[in-house]
Amino acid sequence: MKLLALVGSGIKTISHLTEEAKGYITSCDSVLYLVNEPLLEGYIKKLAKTSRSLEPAYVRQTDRKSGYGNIAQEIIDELNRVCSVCVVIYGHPCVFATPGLLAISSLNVDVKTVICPGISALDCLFADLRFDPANGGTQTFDATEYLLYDKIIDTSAHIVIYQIGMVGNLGLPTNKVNLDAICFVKNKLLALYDKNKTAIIYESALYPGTTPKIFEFELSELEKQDLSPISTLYIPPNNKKMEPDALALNLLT
Amino acid sequence: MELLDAVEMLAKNPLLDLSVLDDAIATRQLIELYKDSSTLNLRALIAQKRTFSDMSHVATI
Repeated sequence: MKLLALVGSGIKTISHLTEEAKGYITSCDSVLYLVNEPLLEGYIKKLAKTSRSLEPAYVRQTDRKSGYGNIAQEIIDELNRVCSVCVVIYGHPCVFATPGLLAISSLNVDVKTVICPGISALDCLFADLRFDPANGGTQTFDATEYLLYDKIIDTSAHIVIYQIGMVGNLGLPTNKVNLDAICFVKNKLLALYDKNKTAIIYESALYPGTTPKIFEFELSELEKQDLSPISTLYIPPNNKKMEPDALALNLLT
Repeated sequence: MELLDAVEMLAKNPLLDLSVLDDAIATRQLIELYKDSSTLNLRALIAQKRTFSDMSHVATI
C-alpha cells in the first residue's frame, strides 16, 4: 500500500522538527517540502533520500488558491511515481496549510495517510506571551476572513488574528500592507474594545537562539505598527468579571 | 563549519552560546542579524547567499 505522510516542521528552524517527522523524512522514497526558511531546506536535503521544493508549483500562480491546487496535484503525481511520499510543510500541516489537506482529500482509499502535527505559530504565541488558552477561552481568525465576514468576537476571550500584515491580500505573500483593510479591521475591533485597549503584534522566532518579536500598542494605533507577513495580532481578554449561569451552577457535582 | 551545522548545533543544545556562529562560514552582517533576532532580514540574507530557494512563497523583503 502506498503512503503519504504529511508532516509539520514547526516554526523554529530544525529545533521544532519532531523525531516522528524526521523518521518520515529519512525513510520515505521522496520528500516534497514547502518550508519557511532556507536552512531548514538544507537540513531536509541532508536527511532525505530525494527531495524537492514545492515552491515552484506555488509561485507559478499569482493567487494562493490556485497555488494550493498545483501543490496538491504535484503531491498526487509524486505518489503515482513512488511508494512513499513525505510532504513537509512549515508550522503545523493542518494550520494555514491547505495544500496537504487538499491532496489527502483527493486520494483514493488505497493510500495510507498519516499526518504528524508540528508546532504552529499559535503554539509559540501561547508560550511566548505566557498564557493558557483554556483560561477564558481563545478565538482565532484569519485577518482577511475577519475583514470580510461578521465574525462574533467574545471580548472575555483571548483573541488571535493571524496574518494581520496580509489582511486583504489574496495574492502571494508580500511586505506591502493594505492600509485600508487594516483600518477597516481596526474600526471593527474598536466597536468592541476601548480605543486604549492594549494589544500585541507578535512574530515567532524562526531561528534557534533568537527571540520572538512582541510589540505592545494601543488598538487605536493598529495601522501605525510595523507589520510583516508573519505578524499576528493578539488581543488579551477584557478584565470584566463574568457571572456563571445560575441554572448551570446547580449542575455542578 | 557551515552555517547549517552551526544552527543545527544551536537547535540541539539551546544552552550553547551564539558565539558558535563566529566559527561558521558566515558574514559579520549575518551574525549581527542573528544576535539581534532580526528574523526576516536574516532569512532574506541566508536565502541570498546560498543555493536555497528564495522563500518568495513566504515573504519578500
